[in-house]
Amino acid sequence: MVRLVVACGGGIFTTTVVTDKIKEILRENKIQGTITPHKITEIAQITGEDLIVVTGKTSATNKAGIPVIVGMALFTGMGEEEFTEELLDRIREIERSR
Amino acid sequence: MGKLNTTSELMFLQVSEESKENLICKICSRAEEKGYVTSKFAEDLLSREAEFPTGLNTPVPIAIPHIGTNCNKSFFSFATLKKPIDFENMDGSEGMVPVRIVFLFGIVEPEEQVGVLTKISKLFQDKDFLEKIYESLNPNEALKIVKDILGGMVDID
Repeated sequence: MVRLVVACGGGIFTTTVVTDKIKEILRENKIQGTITPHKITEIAQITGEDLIVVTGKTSATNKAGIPVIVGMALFTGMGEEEFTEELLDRIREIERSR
Repeated sequence: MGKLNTTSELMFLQVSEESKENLICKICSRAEEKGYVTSKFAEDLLSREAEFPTGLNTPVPIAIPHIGTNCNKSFFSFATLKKPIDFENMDGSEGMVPVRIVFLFGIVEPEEQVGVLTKISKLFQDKDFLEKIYESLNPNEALKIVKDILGGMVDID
């Protein structure tokens, strides 16, 4: 079970669209996971998750060492395939390291 | 449920506002007149835009300011600009986006609106759609373009 976070500025537009797309990616690839929304301002403090997908402007890193990747491609559609590949690679790596 | 409200009165075409603040206030005043938002909406929106910019280098450069607070009904509006106004890029990259269309949203129940928001995010990459909107000559024409594409996902007031 992979634990993902989607973080954006306001938690409304990009979070909604990107969360939905990630749900579909997980479903299509038969991956079990949770997706929790957070604000960008909360990134540093997040714990208990495996990967943070950020959709917006930030240089925030997470104090517990959870990797942060930029998921704008899922919102804009530009580079969506490459991002999806990267996301799946990372998820598989997380599951392997368990 | 699940629809965005709009009206031809929230479609501003070829406006000459030169600052994003003036432009955003202009749109928000009209939204307030229509009862969609409270008087605090504009200020909230501008604060958010300052912290989390919404410029996008789409086929016609756009900005998509949006918030959910101080909003009574989920809605969208837009303004096409005679002269581009610079917005910072949503992804934080260097350089300004010379925006020609501003799509402004109030989104109260985002989970209920996944469908229309996803569809609209795809339209942002659609050069045809963006150019049609930019070139529309009057609000009724602009409204028709929106109705044709979004159909039952919008409630026209």
